[in-house]
Amino acid sequence: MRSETSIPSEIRSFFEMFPGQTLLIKGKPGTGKTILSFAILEEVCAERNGLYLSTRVTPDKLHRLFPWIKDVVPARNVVNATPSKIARAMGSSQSSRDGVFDFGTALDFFKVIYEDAEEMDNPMIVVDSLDGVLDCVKPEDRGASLTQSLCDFCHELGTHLILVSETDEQTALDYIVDGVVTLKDTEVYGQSLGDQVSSEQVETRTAREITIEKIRGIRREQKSYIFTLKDGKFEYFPPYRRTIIPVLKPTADIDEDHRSSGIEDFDVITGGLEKGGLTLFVVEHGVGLQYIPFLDQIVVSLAAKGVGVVRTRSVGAALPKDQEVTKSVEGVYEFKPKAWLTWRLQKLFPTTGEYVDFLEKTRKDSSEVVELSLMESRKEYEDFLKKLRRKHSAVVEFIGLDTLEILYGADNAMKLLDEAIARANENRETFIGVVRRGMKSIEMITKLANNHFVFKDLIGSLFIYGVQP
Amino acid sequence: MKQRKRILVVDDDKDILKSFKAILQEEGYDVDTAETSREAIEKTERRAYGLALLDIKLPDVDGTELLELLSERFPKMVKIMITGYPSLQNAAESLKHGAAAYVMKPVQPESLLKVVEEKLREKEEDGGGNK
Repeated sequence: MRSETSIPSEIRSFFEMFPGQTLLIKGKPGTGKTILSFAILEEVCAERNGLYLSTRVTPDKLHRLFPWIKDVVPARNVVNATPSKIARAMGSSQSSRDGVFDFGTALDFFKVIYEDAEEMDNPMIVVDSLDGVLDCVKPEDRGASLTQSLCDFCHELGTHLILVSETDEQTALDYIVDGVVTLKDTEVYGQSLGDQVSSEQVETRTAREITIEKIRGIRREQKSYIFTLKDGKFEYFPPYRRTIIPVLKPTADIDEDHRSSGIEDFDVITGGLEKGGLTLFVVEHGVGLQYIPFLDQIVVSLAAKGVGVVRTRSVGAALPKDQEVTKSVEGVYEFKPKAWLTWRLQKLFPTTGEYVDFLEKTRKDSSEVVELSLMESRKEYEDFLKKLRRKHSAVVEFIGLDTLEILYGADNAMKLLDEAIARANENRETFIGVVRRGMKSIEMITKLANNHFVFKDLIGSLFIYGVQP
Repeated sequence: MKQRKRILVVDDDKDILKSFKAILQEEGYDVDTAETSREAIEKTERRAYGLALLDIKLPDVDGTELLELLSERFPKMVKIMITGYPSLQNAAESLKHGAAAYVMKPVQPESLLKVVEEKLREKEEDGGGNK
């Protein structure tokens, strides 16, 4: 779920609290430090009063790499602080050979920058990267003293300062600055693909993670968040809040082989819901009911264009009444299989004891009762489908397969699934199944799916990723 | 004076009929008996019963079929199945065709009276009335 702001609210609040805040952004190459610094400038410096010192990349190249920053940091505010440029700016008399400066020279350079910044209202300076600057000074000056001096300037002048560091290790700098964030790539482990839990058999994906190591005076909502750099822009994912209400809006089919899910991003990435075969959603441990609004949107979108949607929910997958929208939508039909037959038999016996006696006497062949339940419900379901097909030109089945497994056992659930897939193929229609981690038949079911997506909770946010295709 | 509640007991075992009749009459019920499904149907056509105790195994028509028939014709009548050979199939069929309870032989008199009394009371509470 997306946020209204692109950066964690803690960082925004941090810069809004006092002038002269100093933030260190740490991370290995390619983790998104530069883009985060621009995102902070965009969020905090509404009046384009940010100054960006680039020690590695020339301003021209920076604008070519990230065209959108022209609106955030105008060309005049991007300072070329590559070593050769500093040398020219400071004059040859103050430079030493090979572009290495003493402490005083480097500080003079920054004083000039600060003087420019001081003329701005609520200015912010980004030094990208601090390592680039430190490389230009003599080894004896590379310690914390230069950075301490830079921070002192900022505090005195009330100028915000962002220092970008190319290492994610803890250093003395962490104690000098007011805030520290670390960006890193983090491994997201899927489930074991077989019985053996070895690294080769576990699906892994990489996600980007921002960790707020320190942020003086601000309460952290969370220590870490997942973020994306999609389209060259930083966007973090806030913790899940159940605020998504499905919208009843008909969306045209994508092509003759794919129905629209009604979720634009999902359609763009996946090409839509395939007609024929099984489209499977796996709900991982820890997701809870977060995934339901996503599936509800699919249900509602299909119904909005006249498709009949017959839905057998996963066990316990019902939202509170005020968030439950699909029940009031025309064209959505909830199908509840009759409860496990033995549960209903209980009411026949005068006492629990007599019921238990009965079960003990008859439980020699418990599959008999499963078969009875299965046959009863199967016929009822097929009759229900027939009725719907008379009413709707197309009918999409949407089945919580865990419900079938619980009621009829794993083997019978597979038989019912097989029939449903055959119906979907025969009718060239979308068929959606939902399974939950922990089901006995989950591995087999995933093998039958044409399309296989996974819902996963990452640091409190809901994510969906594709496994097949 | 309050009308006595009428009960029909259907079983091909004469001893069962005799003992059930004695136990129920002792409690003040008006009891008729039938040894076959055909006899049971004839009796229900002539008199209205509030409750019927039906053996699953009957010589002519199976007890569960009789139950189905009685449920169609007299949906408000309480039907209790009796069996000496419990099976899931029969229990499921009984449930499906509207049996209110399922009693296994040998039946203790107090158990029989308890289930009869309870089911008749439930029927009254549901507004089913009694003849």
